[in-house]
Amino acid sequence: MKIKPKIGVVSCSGECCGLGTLSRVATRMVLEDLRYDQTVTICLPLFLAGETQEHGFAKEYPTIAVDGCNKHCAYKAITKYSKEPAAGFDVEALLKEWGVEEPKTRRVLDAENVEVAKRIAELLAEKVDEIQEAS
Amino acid sequence: MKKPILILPCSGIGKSFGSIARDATFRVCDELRPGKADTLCLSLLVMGDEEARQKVASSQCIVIDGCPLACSKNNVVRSESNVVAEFRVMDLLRENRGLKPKEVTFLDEDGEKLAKILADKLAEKVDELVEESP
Amino acid sequence: MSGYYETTADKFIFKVKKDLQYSKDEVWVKQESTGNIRVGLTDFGQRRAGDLVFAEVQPVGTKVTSGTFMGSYETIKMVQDILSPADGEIVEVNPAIISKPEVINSDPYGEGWVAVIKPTSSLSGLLSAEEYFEVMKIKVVDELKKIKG
Repeated sequence: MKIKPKIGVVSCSGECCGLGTLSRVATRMVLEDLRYDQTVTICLPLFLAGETQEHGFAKEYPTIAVDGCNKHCAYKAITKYSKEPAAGFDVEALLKEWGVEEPKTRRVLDAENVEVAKRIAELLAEKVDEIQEAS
Repeated sequence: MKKPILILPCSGIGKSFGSIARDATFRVCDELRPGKADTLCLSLLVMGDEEARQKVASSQCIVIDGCPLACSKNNVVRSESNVVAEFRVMDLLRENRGLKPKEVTFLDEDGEKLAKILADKLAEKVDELVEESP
Repeated sequence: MSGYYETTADKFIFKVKKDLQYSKDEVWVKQESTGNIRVGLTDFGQRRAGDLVFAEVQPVGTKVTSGTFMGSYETIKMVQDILSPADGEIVEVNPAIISKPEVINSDPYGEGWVAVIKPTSSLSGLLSAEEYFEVMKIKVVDELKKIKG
C-alpha cells in the first residue's frame, strides 16, 4: 500500500489587508476540515523565528504556500529556509481571475468573503490531493 | 502629525492566541485608534522588505505574542526596531481565568471577549505613547 | 549520542529522556542521591495538554500515594490532574511552574520539574525509558488529533 505523505500548508501572515485574512481563513478551512488528516499546519511566524520542527517538516515533505498578494512572503520564506513549495497560491491573482472584489475589512470577513474563502479552500484541497497522488 | 504607533501581532495560525492577537490589532488600528496605530506584515519584515524595515526602524513598536514562543518579539528584535511595549495573550488569559478561547479560524465567544480586552489595553497604551511622543 | 529517544509524527518530535523512569500517568521520575525523587511532566504529556496557563502543586509536607492527586495543570483545552508516581511526602515544589507554567512546555525534563518527593516505600510500577518510549509511540498515533488542535 502506497503511503501518501502529509502536506504542509502555510499561509502568509497577511496583517496588511483583507487578502491576508482571506488567505489565512482558506488555509485554516483546509487544515481544520477539508483535508484534516492529510495536512499539517506550518505556522509562518514560527517558521520565520527558526522553529526547527517547522523547518524540518518543510524540508522533508511537500508544502503548499498560500499568499494573500504578489509579494509571496510565504512562498519565498519556505523556499529560502527549507525548500521550494510543491505549489503556491496567490489569492489576489485568484480574485482578479474570478472578478471578485477584495475584502473591504481585514478583521472580519463578511458572508460573501467567507464563501470566497471556501472556494479558495476547495482549490487548495484539490491541490493537496494532486500532490499526494503524484508523490 | 505624529507618527502612528506600530502594532505587530504574531498572527500564529496554529492556536487561538494568534488569532486573538491579530483581531485585537485590527480593532485598534481600524476601529479604536485609526490614524494613531498601524500594523504591517511580520513576514514582510523578516523577508527583508525595505519599506517594512524602514517603517519598523523609525516607529515605536508594540509586539503582541499569542504564546510564550514569542514569535513576534523574536522576529521584530532581529530587525532594527524600537520595541516600547510587549503584550502576551497568555498573560491576559491568566487574568481572565474563566475564558477558554478554543477556535482559531473564526474566534468563538471567549476569543472575541479576550480580543476586546486586549484591544482596550492596546488602545490605552497607544494613547499613552502618542501623548508622550514629541 | 543523544540523551533522548525520539519519535516524529507530522512535524512534532516527541522526546523521552533516557536516564529517567516513567509512570503511566505521564510523569517522569528521577532518583536523586538524597534518596528523594524529582518528578515532572513528560514531553508527550505537555504536548498533549497544550500551552499551560496554570499549574498547581500540593504544598510541601503533603503526603501522597502512588496514583493519586498531587497537583494539576490547566490549559484552554483541559484541566488535568498530576498523579504522584510514588508513595511519599512532597518536600519541594518548583516555584517556576507556579509563576510561569509555560516552562513545563518549553523544558519539561529540566527547568519544568514539578516537585521533589521523599518516598516512603520502594518505587514500583514505573517504566524504564525504553519501555515508556514504546508506550508513548502508540499514544502519539492515537492522540495526534488532540495535539494537532
